[in-house]
Amino acid sequence: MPDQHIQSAFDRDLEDIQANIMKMGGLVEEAIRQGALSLATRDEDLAETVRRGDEAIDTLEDLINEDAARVIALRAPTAVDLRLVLSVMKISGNLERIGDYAKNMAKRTTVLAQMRPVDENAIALKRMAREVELMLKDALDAYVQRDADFAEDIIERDREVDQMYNALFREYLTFMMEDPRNITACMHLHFIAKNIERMGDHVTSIAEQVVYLVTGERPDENRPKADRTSTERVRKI
Amino acid sequence: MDAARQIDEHTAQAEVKVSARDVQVYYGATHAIKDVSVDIADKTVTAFIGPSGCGKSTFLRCINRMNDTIDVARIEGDILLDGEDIYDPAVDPVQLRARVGMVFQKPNPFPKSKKKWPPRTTFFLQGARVSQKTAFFHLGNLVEYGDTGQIFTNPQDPRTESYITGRIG
Repeated sequence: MPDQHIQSAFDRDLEDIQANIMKMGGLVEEAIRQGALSLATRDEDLAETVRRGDEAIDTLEDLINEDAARVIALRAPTAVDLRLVLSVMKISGNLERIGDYAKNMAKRTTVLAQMRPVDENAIALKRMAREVELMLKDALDAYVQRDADFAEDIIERDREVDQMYNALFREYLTFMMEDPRNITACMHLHFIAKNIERMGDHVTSIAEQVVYLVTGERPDENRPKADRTSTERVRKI
Repeated sequence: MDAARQIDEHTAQAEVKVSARDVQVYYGATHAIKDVSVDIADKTVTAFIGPSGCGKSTFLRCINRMNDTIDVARIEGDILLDGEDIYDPAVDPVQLRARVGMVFQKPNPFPKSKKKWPPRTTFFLQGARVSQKTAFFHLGNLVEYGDTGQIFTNPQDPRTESYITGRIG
C-alpha cells in the first residue's frame, strides 16, 4: 500500500497528531520516573515539579482530541486511517490517566516526606515504577513501528507488575499489623503501589490499541489478571 | 435506529436476487472483467466502488444486457436473476431491462470549469457509505465484497485499503 495519501494535507494532519502523542508519551514517562525518584529520595521539590508538569500532559490530551475530531470532520478517515484516529484518542486518554497517577504519587510523596520512614528507599516501589515506565516506552515504540507482536509481549508483561503489586500489598499489610503507627504511611504507600499497578493496565490498553491499529482485530479477551488482592483476606496472627 | 437495525437484519437474511458466476467481459482483445462471481442480495443497497476504468459500470451493464448493444463486447459466465439465466436465448432483453432498471451517472460535475479537475477526495465515496454491502473493483477484478461497515473499517485486501483511504485514485 502506498504510504501517502493523494491529499498530502491529510498526511500532515495525521503526522501532527502522532507527533503530539509521542510528545505526550515522553512527558508521561518522565513523570513516572521523577515521581518514583521523588518518593525514593523524599525529594519534595521534585515531587512539586511532577505535580506542576501534569498540566502540560492534560493540555496535550485536549489538543490531540481536538485534532482527531477535526480529522474526522474534514477528512472522513476510513480503514487504517480511521483506526489510527480512534486509537490516538484512546491512547491520549490512557496517557492522561497515567499522568494523573504520577501526579498523585508526587502528592503522596509530599505527605510521606513529613512522616517517619516506613519502607526505607521504597526500592520495590521504584522497581515497579521502573518496569511500568519501560513497558510504556516499549508500547510507544511498538506504536511507532506498528509492531503488533511486540505489543502482545507488552500485554503479557503486565502480569509481572500485578505480581509486584501483590507482594507489596502483603508487605504493607504486615507493616500495619506490626505497628498501628505505620498505618497512615502504609495506606499512602499502598495507594501508590495500586496506582502504579493501574498505570500498567493503561499501558496494556495502549498496547491493545497498537494491535487493533495494525491488525484491525482486538487482542484476545483473556488478559493477564494477576492482581488477586481484591479477594484476599487478613488472617489473624 | 430501529429502522436501520431492521434493514440490517433484513440484509443478513435476504435472498440472493442477482447471482454472477465466473463472469468475463472482453471488449475486442481487452479483458475488461476478470472472473467475477458475486451474489447480490434482494432489497439491499449494494455499492460498487473502484477507480475509474476498473469495470464497475461494465459489470453493471451485464446485468441488464446493455453490453449486447456493443459489437465488440463478448461475455462469458452466468448471470442469474431470481435463479434464471438472463443470457438464455429465450429471454427478451427489452423485458429484462424493464425489470433491471438503470440510472445513468450525470457527467460534468464542474460544468463551468475547463481547468483541471479537483483532486479526488474520500468524499467521493460518501455514497457507498449509505449502502449495506460494498463491492470493490480494481483493474477488472472483484477484489473484495462484504458489509460496508467492515469494508470501511477493516478491509482485508491492501488494494481496497489503498483506495478507500485515498492513497490511490
